[in-house]
Amino acid sequence: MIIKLLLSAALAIVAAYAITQRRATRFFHSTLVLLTLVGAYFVWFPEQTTAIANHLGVGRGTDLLLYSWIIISLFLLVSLYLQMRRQLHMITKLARRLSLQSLLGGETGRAEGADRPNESASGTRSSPIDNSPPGHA
Amino acid sequence: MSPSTDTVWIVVAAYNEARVIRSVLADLLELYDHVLVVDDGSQDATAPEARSAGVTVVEHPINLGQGAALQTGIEAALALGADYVVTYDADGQHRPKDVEELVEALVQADVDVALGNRFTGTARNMPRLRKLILMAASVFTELTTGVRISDPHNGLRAFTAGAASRLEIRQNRMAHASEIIAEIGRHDLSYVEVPVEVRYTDYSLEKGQQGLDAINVLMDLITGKINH
Repeated sequence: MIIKLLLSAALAIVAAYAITQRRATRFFHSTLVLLTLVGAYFVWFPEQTTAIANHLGVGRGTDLLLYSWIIISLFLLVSLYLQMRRQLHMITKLARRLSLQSLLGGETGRAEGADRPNESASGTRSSPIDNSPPGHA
Repeated sequence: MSPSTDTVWIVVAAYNEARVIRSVLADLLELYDHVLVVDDGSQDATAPEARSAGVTVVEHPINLGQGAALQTGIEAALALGADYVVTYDADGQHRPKDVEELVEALVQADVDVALGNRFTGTARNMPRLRKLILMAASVFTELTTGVRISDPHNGLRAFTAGAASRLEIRQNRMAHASEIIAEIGRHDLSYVEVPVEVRYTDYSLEKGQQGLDAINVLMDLITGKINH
């Protein structure tokens, strides 16, 4: 019983945090809230995990949870790793732009589609901060 | 194109090479006027040493890796009007004379890329383990890129401006060597391999790639393929 209360409290904190961060996180926050609700369901009705597990050919509910956790973690790891690589690429482009501007003064030579330098002076156009992923691979 | 008036830019990527960079550059400057050093965020005096040798220097604000430094150098050289771009190591393993051999081969064979090959050329004092690793790398590169190069990790390479402008080196660190070969395959560039000399001095052996780097290179290439 105590564990159910502790887990429910933890899930409630995660859900509350996700909801308060909804502006910063697009739909990640709703996925997270959904997950906490699913988690809460299994906290209060753990027998259900066994029912579902048996249905899938797994002996115990906890085993099913373990398998699910492993799969989810792998997806998450790959996703995070790829994200890091994208960010490294962005940092590289940024550093390169700095280096080449120092050398060539304003002209950076190569146009890279979406990364083409803004040739008019910075004061003439205001560009909104763009968090969307780059247009090309 | 007339070989005598075409501009050859030599790109030298350097990281913490303050000890030898001036003498390497002095040798190059005897034969060539246009040398560009990319200082990849060195903590030592590489940049000022290079400048005092009288060459053009581009500095990375942070250390990104040899692949990134070469890409920056190639873009800079093209912006500065290069007709040919040659990559050259900063540690004294290469000979300036071989730059001539490469450019000559580009013109004679009328190809996009000339790649230095130490196995048909000369490899002085090469450690046996290094040789084995390099030969394995050659096989691996062929399997992953479909292009058979005997010495894919040779830093001495020459490109026509057209070929260089199509290169997009996204591997910042040591996997860039295989990536360049992959790019040659991807853009269907014509190439020729040229015998060159590579000298292993105590200095360059200290700094050279360790065996474990091979694993990192493998990982980079696999995940690089996922990304593309």
